Amino acid sequence: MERDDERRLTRLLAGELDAGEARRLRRRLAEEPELAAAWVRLQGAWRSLAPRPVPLPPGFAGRVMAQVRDEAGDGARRASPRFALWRAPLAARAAGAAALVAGLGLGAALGAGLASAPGVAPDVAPAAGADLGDYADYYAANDAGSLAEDYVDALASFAETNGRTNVQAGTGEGS
Amino acid sequence: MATGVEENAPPAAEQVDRAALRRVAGGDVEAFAVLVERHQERLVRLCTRLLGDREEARDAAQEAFLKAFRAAGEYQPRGQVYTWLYRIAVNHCLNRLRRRRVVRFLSLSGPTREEAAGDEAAPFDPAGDAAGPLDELVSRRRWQRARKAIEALPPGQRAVLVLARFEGLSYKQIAEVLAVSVGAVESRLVRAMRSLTAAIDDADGAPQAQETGG
Repeated sequence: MERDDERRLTRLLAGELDAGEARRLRRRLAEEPELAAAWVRLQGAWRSLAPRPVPLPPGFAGRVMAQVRDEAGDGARRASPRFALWRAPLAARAAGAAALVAGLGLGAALGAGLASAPGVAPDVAPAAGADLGDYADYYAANDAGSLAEDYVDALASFAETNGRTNVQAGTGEGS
Repeated sequence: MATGVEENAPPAAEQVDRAALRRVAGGDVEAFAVLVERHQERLVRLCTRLLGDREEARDAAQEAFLKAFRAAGEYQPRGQVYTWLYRIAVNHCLNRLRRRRVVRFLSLSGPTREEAAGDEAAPFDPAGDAAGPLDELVSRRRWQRARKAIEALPPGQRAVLVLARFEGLSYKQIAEVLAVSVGAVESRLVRAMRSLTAAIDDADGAPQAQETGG
């Protein structure tokens, strides 16, 4: 089966063809036994997967909110100004202030603009317009498997685009 | 095709989500309960179908909500809130799947938890269209092959298949959730279906179709 046909059949399966394209493809299915056989196989595989209902674990929302409250409490404690800095001796306060200034300077030099919520950003793919730092975080957090997959996707997209261009150039047929 | 998401969610529902997120970002922790109540079912379902293990899925969904809570202040109202939540959950599950593959490779271990758990843990059923005992046997064998084929898919292909087949998302919505191009979504689904049909052909004892390329 031609790859373009395989793609069209998958689109038909997923409901991605518009009415006109679907009609044209169905007409071909009635006329081309090989294509019809491929369609039967594909449809059979799709239908062999019937979603099973997934029950919600009892008390799920309560557990999530308990964890969220813990997290919020920890965050508030971390951000709270009631740390004992004001009760510390003057020398300790000075050392603390110096360390803070040095840390801020180092942080600014190393990566202003990087993800502001460590542990969150890497799993969330960078949005359009994100800077390179966001992408670096994202890819650093994902293993080589994802990079390989992205590479295959890119190759596939390139091959498909190229193939389509050739088809269009050769036959004048739009997709 | 039945859709598991509110593709054309009423603006009011979206407004409820966005208002809750704004309140969370402003420090109102309890407002997050609105989002949990509204989206817990679909997130647990999604994680279960991606991971194929109910226990792990429950943990993953919980962690995904926690990540969403931490990231509430960074939400940009470009898309719908459920898409944003889906993206967090899917990425979290994909990372778990990838880690699982690495661990399995490194340890050269036997079956995964989902394989060991057997049919009960499967997030999908065999199609119930068998006419008699023989048909049922064939159907069950095909389904088991399909299950194994899905478990063996690369995580990105598995995510696309789950989102398209079980969650009823369009290519465009899947692209938005996975932050990839529509072309990449299509390419992954085509490859996933190719693996699935090959596995089922194998179960039926049929020769695999020759690919001629295009």
